[in-house]
Amino acid sequence: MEDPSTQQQGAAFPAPPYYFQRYTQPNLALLEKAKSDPTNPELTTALDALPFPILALEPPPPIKRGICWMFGRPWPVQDTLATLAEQGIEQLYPKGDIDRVKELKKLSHSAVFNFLDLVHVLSTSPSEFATKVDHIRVIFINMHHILNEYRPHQARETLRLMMNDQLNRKRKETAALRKTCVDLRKQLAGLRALEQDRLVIPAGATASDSNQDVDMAPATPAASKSTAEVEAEANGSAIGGSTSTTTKNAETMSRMMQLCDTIE
Amino acid sequence: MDRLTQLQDAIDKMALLFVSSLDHLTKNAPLVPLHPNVPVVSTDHGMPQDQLQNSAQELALDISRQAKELEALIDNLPGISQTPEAQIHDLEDLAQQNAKATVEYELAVKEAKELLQEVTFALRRIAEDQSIRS
Repeated sequence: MEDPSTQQQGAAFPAPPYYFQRYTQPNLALLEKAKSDPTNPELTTALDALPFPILALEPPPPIKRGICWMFGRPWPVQDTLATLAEQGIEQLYPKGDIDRVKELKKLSHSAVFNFLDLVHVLSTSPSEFATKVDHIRVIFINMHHILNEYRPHQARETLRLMMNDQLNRKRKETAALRKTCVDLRKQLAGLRALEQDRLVIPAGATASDSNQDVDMAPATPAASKSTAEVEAEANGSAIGGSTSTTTKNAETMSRMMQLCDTIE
Repeated sequence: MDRLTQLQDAIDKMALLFVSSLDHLTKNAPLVPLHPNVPVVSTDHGMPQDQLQNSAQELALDISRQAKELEALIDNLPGISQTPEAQIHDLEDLAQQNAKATVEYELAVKEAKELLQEVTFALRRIAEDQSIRS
């Protein structure tokens, strides 16, 4: 059969790290005991017999300072921009608060002048180009550093603008919702007033009908309106009135459906 | 694209112009005799002198144009009108207002939902009524 090394090479995925073998039931029990009672002498002898510190079974605590390595590159735990002095570059603009616009313009002008100097040096004594090239390099690094220092400020500005936007949008939508509610309420009130008028017309409404009203109608008076209209039809006296109510109903129905759509 | 990135790109472009102009001039310069007694023999190395002069002119023009663009971009930097403390203060203020506005918005939504229920109920009664009558 193949020996384990070639088997490893043929496997599709790499093997898990070797310390998965440490997680045995006895070891885990030892871990629990060690956490609860660290000074027990027989416990310490058992722990010393293990080839690794018992706390290695716990996940490691998060890193709080310094540098951590991820995917082969070092990342600082606190993400700050290194100052120019730390990077070993001379700082050409004054320290502290500066007028970025002026300093940047000065730097760009001096970059062009230094280029002119460089061309001059190349035409007269070409072997001395190194100092001028270095000057130009320092100038560019300074310019980029000024811009990098500006980034957090820009981020806060952008955040402020976005929050302002959100706030205005919410306020507008709240106002629109409230207006739609008011409109709908007016419609409903109008409808109720309409059927109140209808209730007045069939004066011969019997006691049973009014009882039916009480039973059927929870909040809406629409139920009483329907019985009133049936009554009116039976009487035959207010047929003209009922057809006009039908058309009014259709109108109010369509308007209410529109308002419902705006709410949804 | 935001202005800071544009500025950074413009600075990099300037540096690129420096490098490429020097490169172009040195690559295409014609041969020059080192000693008056040793004349230049091969003629098809590099460009003729006047063409080189023209390209030098163009390159100089490019560099100065780029410098002008850089200056214009710097002028258009979004202003540093506030100190960082003022900004943070504004942000906190805005966060509080946002929270309040959210609460009011949710109230309005609840109100609208209740009203919607009422209205659908009324519509249903109207529809029943219509169907009864017809």
